[in-house]
Amino acid sequence: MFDAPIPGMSLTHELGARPWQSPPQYTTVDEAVEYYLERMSTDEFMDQMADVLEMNIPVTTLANTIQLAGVMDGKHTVDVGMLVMPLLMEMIMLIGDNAGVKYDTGLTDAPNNTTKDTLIEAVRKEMQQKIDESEEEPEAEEEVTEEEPKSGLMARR
Amino acid sequence: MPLINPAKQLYASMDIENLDVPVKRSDSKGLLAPTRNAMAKEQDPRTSQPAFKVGHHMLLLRKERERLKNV
Repeated sequence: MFDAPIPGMSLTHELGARPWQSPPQYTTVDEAVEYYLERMSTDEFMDQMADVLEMNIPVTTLANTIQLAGVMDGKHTVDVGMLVMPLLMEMIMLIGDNAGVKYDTGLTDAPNNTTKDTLIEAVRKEMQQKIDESEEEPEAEEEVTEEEPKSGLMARR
Repeated sequence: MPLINPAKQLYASMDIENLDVPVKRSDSKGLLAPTRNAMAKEQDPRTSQPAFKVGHHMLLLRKERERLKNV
């Protein structure tokens, strides 16, 4: 939420200074497809992609990130990126299948009955804090001293 | 406003299962067979559409994935 650009942020640089403000390197879908397929076919890329897929990051997120990086680098336009994205997803899934990784496609809606790990961790910390507090309390009670026996003349025996 | 990832909708809208790739006709190879019909359209106009090209590429990759799963 806090990563969103502030109003007017796009006007802080000279027009044309950014890669996406100048004509793209690959103007057609064919050229963009060729660029991506060539890049994604390297052993280095496939190894890295298999590692990322093992982290359970959805394929949809990865494809969107890759095409967005292409736009930001001035490789192609947003329109070409949108057209190419399904192909990127298919290619990523092929890499995952090839590496034998069980990956999340991101095409199915996440079930609502699952509990996030972060939530479980937050509850665990809260419970631990309460346990620690309850363990500390009895020590404070022990400090109460016993009443000394009255030894006055009028004291009851 | 949350950032929206259009990948899911784009992937679903490709519908490559129903993508009918035009099959090239095998021309007769006789000596008197016409070599080229100048009036005939060279190719299906759909094939020049970018989305069709992407779908065709996807179909090839999908077949490769299915082949890997079946092995």
